[in-house]
Amino acid sequence: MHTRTSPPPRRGSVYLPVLIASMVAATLALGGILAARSVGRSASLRSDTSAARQLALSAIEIGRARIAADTDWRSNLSTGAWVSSMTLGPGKVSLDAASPFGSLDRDPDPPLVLTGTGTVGRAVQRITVTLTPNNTTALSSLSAAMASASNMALNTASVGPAAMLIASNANITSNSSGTTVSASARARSLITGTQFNGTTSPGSPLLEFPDPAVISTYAALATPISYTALPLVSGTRAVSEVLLSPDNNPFGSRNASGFYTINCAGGPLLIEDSRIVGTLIITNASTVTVAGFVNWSPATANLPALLIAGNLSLQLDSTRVLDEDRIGPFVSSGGTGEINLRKGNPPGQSPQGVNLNSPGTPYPYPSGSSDNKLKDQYPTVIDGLIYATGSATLTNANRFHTLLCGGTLTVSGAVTLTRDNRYRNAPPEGFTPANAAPFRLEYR
Amino acid sequence: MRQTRGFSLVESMLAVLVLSLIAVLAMEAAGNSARVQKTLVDKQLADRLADSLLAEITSKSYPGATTPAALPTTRGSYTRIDQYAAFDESPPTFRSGENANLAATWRRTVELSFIDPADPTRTVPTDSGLRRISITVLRDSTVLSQRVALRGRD
Repeated sequence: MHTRTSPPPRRGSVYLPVLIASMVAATLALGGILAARSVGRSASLRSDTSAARQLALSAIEIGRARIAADTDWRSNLSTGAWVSSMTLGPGKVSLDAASPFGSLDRDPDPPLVLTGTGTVGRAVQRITVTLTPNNTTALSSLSAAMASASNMALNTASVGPAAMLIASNANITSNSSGTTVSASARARSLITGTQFNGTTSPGSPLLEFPDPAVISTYAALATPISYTALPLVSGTRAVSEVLLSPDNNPFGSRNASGFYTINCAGGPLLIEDSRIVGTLIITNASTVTVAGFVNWSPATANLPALLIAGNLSLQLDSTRVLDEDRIGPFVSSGGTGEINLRKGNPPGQSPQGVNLNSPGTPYPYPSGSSDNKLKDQYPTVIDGLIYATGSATLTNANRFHTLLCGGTLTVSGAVTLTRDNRYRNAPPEGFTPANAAPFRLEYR
Repeated sequence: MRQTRGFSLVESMLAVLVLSLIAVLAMEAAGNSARVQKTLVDKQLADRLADSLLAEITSKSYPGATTPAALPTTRGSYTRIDQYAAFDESPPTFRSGENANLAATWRRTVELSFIDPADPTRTVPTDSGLRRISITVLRDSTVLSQRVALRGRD
């Protein structure tokens, strides 16, 4: 019988299964390593993405904080990069601002588009926020430097500069060839006359004016000054040649916020040749006249300067300055030796002088300087909001921030407007419609 | 003389050597992978701990009052960002104060500072309306996760 025996394996054939086993093991090991690395990378990317998102949100917070820190941010900030690749924690942040209409400082307020970018490692997160003004943040009349709820008449007047806006809820009429209006003008109805050098916008929407009840709101917060205790100047009760401020009230007790109120009981009131730091609330006045050289600002920048339940006559002379050594009672000896600019000196007498930046009321307020000298001079200007419920008449050379009047506004002489956005961006109480929010935010 | 067929001793020894080498490398790779996996799990946990605390803090009020708010007894009652100023816990817990079943080697800290909005690289001593919130999560004193965010005043 023939037995077949299988041939024994050839030499070296053991390497084949060893090679196969090695390859399988190596492949598994390599696959495991690659899988672990992939999971690691993925986890790292997820972590970076989360951190980058926080940084992008942080960039938006920077933008919000900048706006909140600057009441005049629309003038002081521009579109473009607000923050460029700034290192923050584990990554970098950038912030860009854009406006659909180019400039941020336009009327009406344009929306602001903020894009925050956060970068951590390879992860980039971008968040865009559109801040849309509610247009109810401030009364729309605060967009103008000079606005009347009724007609505005310009008679031989010069009104500027060009960047400013004057507005009326009725007509604006220029009645004289001597009138020059550099400011833009908008009116609910007609704008007549040919001396308008700026943009004119007849047929504009109605502007919102304050509720006259705002006067009593502020009066309730104020320290009263007795009308009858005020000195008479040419037969009229007057706040004349004094320093009135949170730290100084020559007529009575002080008010830390600078709120003072005078009930005129139907009579007139004159305010002249003084420095005022605060908010003066005048009620029951036939007419309030502000004349001569007055340097006036509210104690807090975005509070009103002057609130009048009644009519206003503004007769400042902003071509000259308020001089400490040219005011005060006349004395025959111990005077300053200077001549009172408006009244002239009686024979043998000169003004005693009044310190208008005594300790507690530095100039500029509140972070300027004080001294006990009588040599300081102050520009004639009302650097604050004036609101009169009645009519307003402007003569001479007036310089002020913002004027709103509930009646007709008649202007002659020069008017220099100094308005910035402080009241529009941070309106005082009573100058904001109820339930106003500064912005509507849309994330995308 | 006819050659004897089969594995020679040399072949067998070489095969065993190669297999041993492969086995050692594979075990090392497996060990590394396990270590990486463990680090990864720790890192992910640390990220979650940092993210959740950051979300908790940024959701709180920043009223900008100069007087710090009183510190409630439990974190769940915190309402303002400044109440997290001295936050340092080990091991981390849930907001309610419940134990999160983490070892005492875990630690979570918060650092708050004021930033100048005009120059956000600059820290300022007084309230500027912009706060920097920095959260660090550590295990065995090793930083595993760090999150930084800015928050503006309400």
